[in-house]
Amino acid sequence: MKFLPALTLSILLCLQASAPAAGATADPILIGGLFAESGPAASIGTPTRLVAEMTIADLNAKGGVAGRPLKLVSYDTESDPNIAQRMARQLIEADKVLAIIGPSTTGEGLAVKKYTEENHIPTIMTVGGDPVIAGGKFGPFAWTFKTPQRTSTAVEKIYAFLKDKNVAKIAVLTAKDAFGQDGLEQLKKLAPAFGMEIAAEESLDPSGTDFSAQMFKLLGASPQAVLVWTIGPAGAVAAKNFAALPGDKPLLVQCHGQPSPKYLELAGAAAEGTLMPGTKLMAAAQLPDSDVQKPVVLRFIQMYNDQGLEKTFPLNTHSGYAHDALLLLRDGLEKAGKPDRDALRDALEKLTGVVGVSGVFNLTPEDHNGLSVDSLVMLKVEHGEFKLAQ
Amino acid sequence: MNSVAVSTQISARAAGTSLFAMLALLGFILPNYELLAVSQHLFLAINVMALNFCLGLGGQVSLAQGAFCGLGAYISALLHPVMPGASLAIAVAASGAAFALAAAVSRPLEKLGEGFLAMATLAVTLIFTNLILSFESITGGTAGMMVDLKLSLPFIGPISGDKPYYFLFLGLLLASVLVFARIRASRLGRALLACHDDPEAASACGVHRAAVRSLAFGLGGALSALAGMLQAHYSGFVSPGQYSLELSLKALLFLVIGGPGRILGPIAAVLILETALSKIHFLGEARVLVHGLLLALALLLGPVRSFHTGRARFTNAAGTDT
Repeated sequence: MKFLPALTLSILLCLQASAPAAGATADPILIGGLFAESGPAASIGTPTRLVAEMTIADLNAKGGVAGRPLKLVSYDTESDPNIAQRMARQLIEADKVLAIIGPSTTGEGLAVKKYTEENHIPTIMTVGGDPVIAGGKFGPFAWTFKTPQRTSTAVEKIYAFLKDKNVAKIAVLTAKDAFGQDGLEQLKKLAPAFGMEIAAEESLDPSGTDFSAQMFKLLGASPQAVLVWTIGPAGAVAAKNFAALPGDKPLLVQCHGQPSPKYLELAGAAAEGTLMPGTKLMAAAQLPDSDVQKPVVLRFIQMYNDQGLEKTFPLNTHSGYAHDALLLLRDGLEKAGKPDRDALRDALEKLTGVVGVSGVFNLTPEDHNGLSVDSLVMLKVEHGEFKLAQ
Repeated sequence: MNSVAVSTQISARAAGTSLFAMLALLGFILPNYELLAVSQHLFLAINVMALNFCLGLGGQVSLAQGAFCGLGAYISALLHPVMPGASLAIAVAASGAAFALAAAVSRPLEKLGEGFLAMATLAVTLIFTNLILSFESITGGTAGMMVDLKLSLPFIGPISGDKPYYFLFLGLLLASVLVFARIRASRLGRALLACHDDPEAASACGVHRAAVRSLAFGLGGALSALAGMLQAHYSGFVSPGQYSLELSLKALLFLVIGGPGRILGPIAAVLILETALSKIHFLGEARVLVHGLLLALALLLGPVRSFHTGRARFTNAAGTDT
């Protein structure tokens, strides 16, 4: 019989799969996941889900939360706010999850938020934009948290670094999308506090392929540094255009969305010498041993490589956000002492000193992000690699 | 009218009645989160019906449905804080503004040939998105804004929850179907169908083409605006991304699949295919491919084949004559 070995093998595999996870065997605590696994944000959403699954497996191997394992129920939001909203409700009303991790984009976050706030669902988002926890016209954020750094944190990091280098006159090139708009607003708002003068400002279309004209105009104002605020390939295009201009050039600073192997690949030689703030993931080996994040970051990279994720989704500055969201959730649950939404929310906003991959989280009722300037490092591209900038 | 025509008309009416009865029943038996999905499909179905006014009746392709829908949503979102509780007046204002805008846009564009008209209406959608982005202080820019105030109807009061919205969407769809059927059977409808079959011949017969077509365009715009208004308050959030070209293209896709000028076909196409498409999550990016295949199949085999036969027959006949 030819198929007998195959049959035995598959039965063995089934047995393996159904064997309970080591360490935690009680009733699982259900956690919902919303990730943009298709559509324009798929390149962010897919690795986010993989990291979330990896982290949950790791937490369960360590005994879960108070003896109970975590179980992830996740859906693809198709990068669409309407579908994100639908899936959030399915998670709560049909799957009865305790809390939600995600979604991936700011638009989806705002669409989901209305429902989760009204129905008191703790939601830890991995969205870049600040509106979800900004309050004001974007509504209350009592139940909404997010793990990526705020835009203002990144701006402060850059300004402090530049001030240290005696730079006082800058020019800015910002994207026309929500991310760029937000960046420009913060750059302008925080400039006086650091004694920065914005000598010129231009904007770029993030899907554009040439920004030489804008760069030329910015250099006309003879700034000491040029700041580019955009995510995706446009940052690399701007670096290339900048490098191609003749003459002595000022510093080129990119925003905190750029540090990734993709930037190095796309910008090539033009990336050399560019500065940008990034999470410590990007320069883990260089961190001083005194840094409390170092062991966490190194362990994360180890797990990431062990899972084989590095091949399909090379590690970038954003890779750790889902991991940190789950860490916050675990610590919140342990502090709350019971899997209860109200208790979890109250515990979450009082968490302090949670050492994650993206920084040390100190949350307060006013600050539902909890990351400070110290969570970022200034990176400099040297010989095609990210190095800590001196 | 012979007996066959009468009996098909009666059976179409029976099918329509049973479809709406079934949808109303669904409103009572589905759990709330499933109802949200059906409401989102109904929202799309209303936009498909709106497009049906200009494409199905007047034979004009429009890619501006998303813009009219967004116009209604933003007008409502911006006016409600100024006039809380005056939802009915705001609905009139929003649909009136969309009607005026759509009719005004349609009038000069009527002279354009089919492909060019599609491009011009596409530009309307892009201009709308850019306007929203430019007036960031009012509209919230790309990030959009929250819509906190509830719709409020006379005698009923503030509206919240899935069921009331579901029945509002269903009611609006039913109203659009009735208006559409009524117009199609009227003098205006026949004038539009004449424009659709052969614009020059229609003009020669004394049909004021620009006027009747802009009326159809305007009705479609107003209907989309009402749908947008409902959607804005139901989801509690407006952003330019919701009313982009994608919505216009989806409306066109489902209308072409279901058959322009028909009523039940397009609505059934939206409800069945959208439900089916939402169940094939596992396909990921390949869903776009499924959309494309559906469109290709509809163009090759579907009801749209008979769409331009009037004009085609005329030119063929002229060609063979010479």
